[in-house]
Amino acid sequence: MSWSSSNPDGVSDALALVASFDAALVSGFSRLDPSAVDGLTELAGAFSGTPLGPAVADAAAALPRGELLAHHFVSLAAARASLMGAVADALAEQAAAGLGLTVPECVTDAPPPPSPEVSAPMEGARDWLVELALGGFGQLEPRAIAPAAATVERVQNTPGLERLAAVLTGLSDELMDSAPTAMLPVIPARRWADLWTRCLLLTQALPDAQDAVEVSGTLAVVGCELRHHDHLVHGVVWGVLDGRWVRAHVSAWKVDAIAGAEVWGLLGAQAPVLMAACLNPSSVEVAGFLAPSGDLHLTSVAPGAPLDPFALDFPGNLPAIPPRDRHPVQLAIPVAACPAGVPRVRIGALSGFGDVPPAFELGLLRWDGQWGFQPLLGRTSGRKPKWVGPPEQLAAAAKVKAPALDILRERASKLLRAG
Amino acid sequence: MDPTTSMVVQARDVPARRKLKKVPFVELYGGRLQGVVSSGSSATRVYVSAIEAKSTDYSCATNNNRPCGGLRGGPCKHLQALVDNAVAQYGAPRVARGLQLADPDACTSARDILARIVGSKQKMDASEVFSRFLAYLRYVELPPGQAPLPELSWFLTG
Repeated sequence: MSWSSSNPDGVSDALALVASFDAALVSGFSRLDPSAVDGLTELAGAFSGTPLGPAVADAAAALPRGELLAHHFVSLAAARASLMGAVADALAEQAAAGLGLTVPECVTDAPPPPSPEVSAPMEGARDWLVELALGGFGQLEPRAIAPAAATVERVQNTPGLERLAAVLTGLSDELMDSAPTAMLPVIPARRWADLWTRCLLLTQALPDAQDAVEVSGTLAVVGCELRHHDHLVHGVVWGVLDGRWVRAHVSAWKVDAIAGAEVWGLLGAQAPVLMAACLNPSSVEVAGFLAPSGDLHLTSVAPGAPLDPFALDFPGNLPAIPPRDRHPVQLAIPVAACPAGVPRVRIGALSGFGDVPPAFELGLLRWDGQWGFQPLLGRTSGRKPKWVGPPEQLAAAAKVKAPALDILRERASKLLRAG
Repeated sequence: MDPTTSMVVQARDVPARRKLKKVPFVELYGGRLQGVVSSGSSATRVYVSAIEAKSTDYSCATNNNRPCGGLRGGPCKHLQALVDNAVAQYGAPRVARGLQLADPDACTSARDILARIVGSKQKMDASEVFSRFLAYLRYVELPPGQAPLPELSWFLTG
C-alpha cells in the first residue's frame, strides 16, 4: 500500500460535516428542510468548546428561525473554512511523511483594517453572497445573477481587493454560465461552496500581512502552471531560490475571446524574461521581496543560464501555506517524477499536456478527493529530447497573428463613432 | 472525479475561435443570448441581435435602433451569425441551456439551435447590449499584477 492510497483519519468525518453545510447552500437558507437543520446542529456540535463554538451555535439556531443575518453566514463560512484547513493539515502531514519532506511554518500578521473606500465594495460583495445563500445554488435564475455585475465591477476597480476580485469574478462568471442551475445535471456543490466561503471571508478582512524580506540571487525556474477563468489568467512560476521553493506570479485580465495559446501571450507580454525562462528552461537573476509563504515579488529580473529542471536538487520541504489560506486545494507539492500509484490529474489543453505522457514529467502533487499528479514540464525521450507542455504553448503564442484584442478594439471604435 | 465533490473546475471543451470581425461580442446574460454582429455591407454599421430564453423571441436592430430589414418571419442572417458564433464560443449544449431549450444536451450544432428558435420578432433597446460590450472590453484595461492569487487554485484549468 502506498502512502497516497487512502485518506488520513478524520478527513472523511470533516468532509461529511462540510457536505451537510454545502447541501444547505444548494437548497437555500430561506427554505431549510429538517435534514439541513440537523446538519447545522451537527456542525455546531463539532465546534462546541472551540473559539468559534458560540458563534456557530448562534448561527445554527438563528438561521432556521428565519433570522437571516449576514454575520451568521460569516460564522458558518469560518467554521467550514476551519474544517477544510484541518483537512489540509492532515493531508500535508500525510504527504510529508510519505515523501520524507518537512512541513514548514508560515507566520503571518493580522491585516490592517480596510479603509472606507475599500470596505464599501467589500460590503456590497458580502450582501450578494448572502443573497446567493438565501436563494440556494440549486435554483439560480439568470435574471437573479445579472445585477451582480455592478457589485463585481466595483470590487475589480478597487485597489487592494485583487484577491477578492479574482475569485468573485470567477464565481459570478461560472454561476452566470450555469444558470438556470435547475437544468444542470449535477451541481458542483463542494466547489461552489468553497468559492462562496472564500469570497465571503475575503469580504470580512483583507488578507493577512506577511513580513517579506529582501532577496536577490539565481532563481532556478522549474515550470509554470496556468490558472484561468474567462476574465483572468494567472501564471505561477515555480522555482528554487537559496534552497527553498518560491513562486513568482504573473496575472492579466482578459475576455473570453482570448483563448488557446494567446492566453500564454498575455503572460509573456507582462513578464517577458520570466516567461522566456519557461519557454527555454533556464535560470534567471532576480531581486525582490520574499514572503514567508514563498511568494516572490520581483523588482528586477535578468536572463540567466540554461538549466535542466530534471537535474535540479528539489528542496526537502513542502511549500508553506499561510494559516488563513489552508485548504486542500492549496496543497501543491513539487515532485521530480510522478510517484507510483498516483494518477495524473486531468489538465486542460492550454498547458499542452496531451493524453499520452512524455517519457519524463515533473510536476505537483495535488489533492481533489484523492492525490493526483499535475504535470508542470515534460521531456520526450530519444536522442533529441524535446520539452513538452508550457514551452510548446509559449512558442505557439509568439506566432499568433491578428490578436483577438486588436480586432475587438477596432470594432468597438467603429461602433462608438457610428453611434 | 465526482463532480459533486470535485473542487476544481470541470474541463470545458476548448472553444473554436469565433469569427471576431463578424461577431465581436456574444454572451449569455440575464436570460438572453445577445451580441454585436458586423454588417455585411457597411464597415461602419453593426447590428445588435438577441434571442430571449424560453420564448425564443428575437430582435435585431442597428446600433441606432433601426430595425433590421432581414427580420421577415424568422431569424435574419445576423441572428444566424450570432448563434453560429455563440456555438463556436460556448458549444451547442451550453447555448441551448442558456436559451432554456428542452433537452439541451441533444443540441449538437448551431443548426439544431436555430431549428428551435420559434418565437416572434420583438423590439429591444440596443444600447443595453452595447454597454455590455463596452463593459466586456473594460476587462482588458484593468491593470495586470504580480500579486499571489491563491484563490485561482480553484481555477486550475491549464
